[in-house]
Amino acid sequence: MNIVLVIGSPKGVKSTSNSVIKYLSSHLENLGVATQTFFVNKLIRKPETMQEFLSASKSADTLVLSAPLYNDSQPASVVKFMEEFSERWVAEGTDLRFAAIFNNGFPEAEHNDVALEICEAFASANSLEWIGGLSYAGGQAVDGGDLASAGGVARFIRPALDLLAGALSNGESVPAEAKALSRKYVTPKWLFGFVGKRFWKSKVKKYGTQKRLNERPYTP
Amino acid sequence: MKALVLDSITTITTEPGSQVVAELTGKGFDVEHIDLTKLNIKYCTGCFECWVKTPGICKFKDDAPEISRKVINSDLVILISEIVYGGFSSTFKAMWDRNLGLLHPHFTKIKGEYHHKKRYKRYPALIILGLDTAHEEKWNDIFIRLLDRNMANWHAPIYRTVIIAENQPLDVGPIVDGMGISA
Repeated sequence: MNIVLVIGSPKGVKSTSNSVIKYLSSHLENLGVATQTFFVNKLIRKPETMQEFLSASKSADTLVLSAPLYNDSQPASVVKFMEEFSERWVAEGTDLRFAAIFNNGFPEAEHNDVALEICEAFASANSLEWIGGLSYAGGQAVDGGDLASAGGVARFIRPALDLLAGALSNGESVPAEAKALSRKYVTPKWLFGFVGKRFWKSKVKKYGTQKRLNERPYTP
Repeated sequence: MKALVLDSITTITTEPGSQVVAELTGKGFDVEHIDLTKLNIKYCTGCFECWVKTPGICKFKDDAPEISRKVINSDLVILISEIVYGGFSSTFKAMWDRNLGLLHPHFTKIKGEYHHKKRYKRYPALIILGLDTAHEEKWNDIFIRLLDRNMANWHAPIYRTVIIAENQPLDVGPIVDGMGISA
């Protein structure tokens, strides 16, 4: 079993999307699955990396994309990757399955749903078998750290990824239980407004811009 | 009334952007047409400095910040993109993602769901023209739902999403009239 993993975050190594892939790949390797990881930034900027990725995907069983939500869908760099993939992918002789994992900074997993649908449409257009996706809300709090030691903010995504690793190692689709777990509220909705505000206030403190938060630089 | 046309499709003969400009100019709008394919716009890196370090302003000094300025100072913005798997094209999305500074990092609830708050007092009305080149009904359905989500995030006071076909004459006049917008 051979799985190709793509980190679709423009932040690269210091991203929640990478945290997710590192956790998943570690579990896959423990289950005896060979993995290869690529960063979308390199895929769209280095033709030789894209070629290496395409060669790896030709002989892989599954492709997994992990990406953040930008404006309710994939970041522009991931769209570019999808466009280039479509131009260069030759499906004949391949049997590649495709899964996606999206993370967002809201409390609701539903924000990721359209992005997952776009991934399904991408799979269909390129003769990949869509096997489902995970939807992780509140990923902001992981902030590129180690998912295994991220504590409560990752308490649902970790077991969801454990189930996903097991399913992928057996050539199965994304389990319904994994989907449901990934969508659970990390922060209750009633508390999120307070928690979210405190999160951004802590970020602003680093730059000393607390009094400038509400500035409107583009209008009089 | 200022209208801004953000056009990422300039390669088909019917040139929807030019048609829109002609119609809106005829209706008395002060129209600016921007060809996104000719601009230098880096991909958003998700650094959030436009929220926490230089509130409202992106750190990259390319063509994107000026687009943000023009968007928020327009009364009507027309967005034109090819529909790619149900989403925007990469050319369009590169520009769209870089407007994050027009929003505020704190949250508000819209119809029971969390979104980011407004940074500015008013936001433009929007017309989104999605060019259907793949002739996939499912992609068009996804695109419409994507824009419903987007427009909640972008606090558009009113918007319309229109799927357009290649070589189709456009008639945005009735759409603008139907939205109750006049020059």
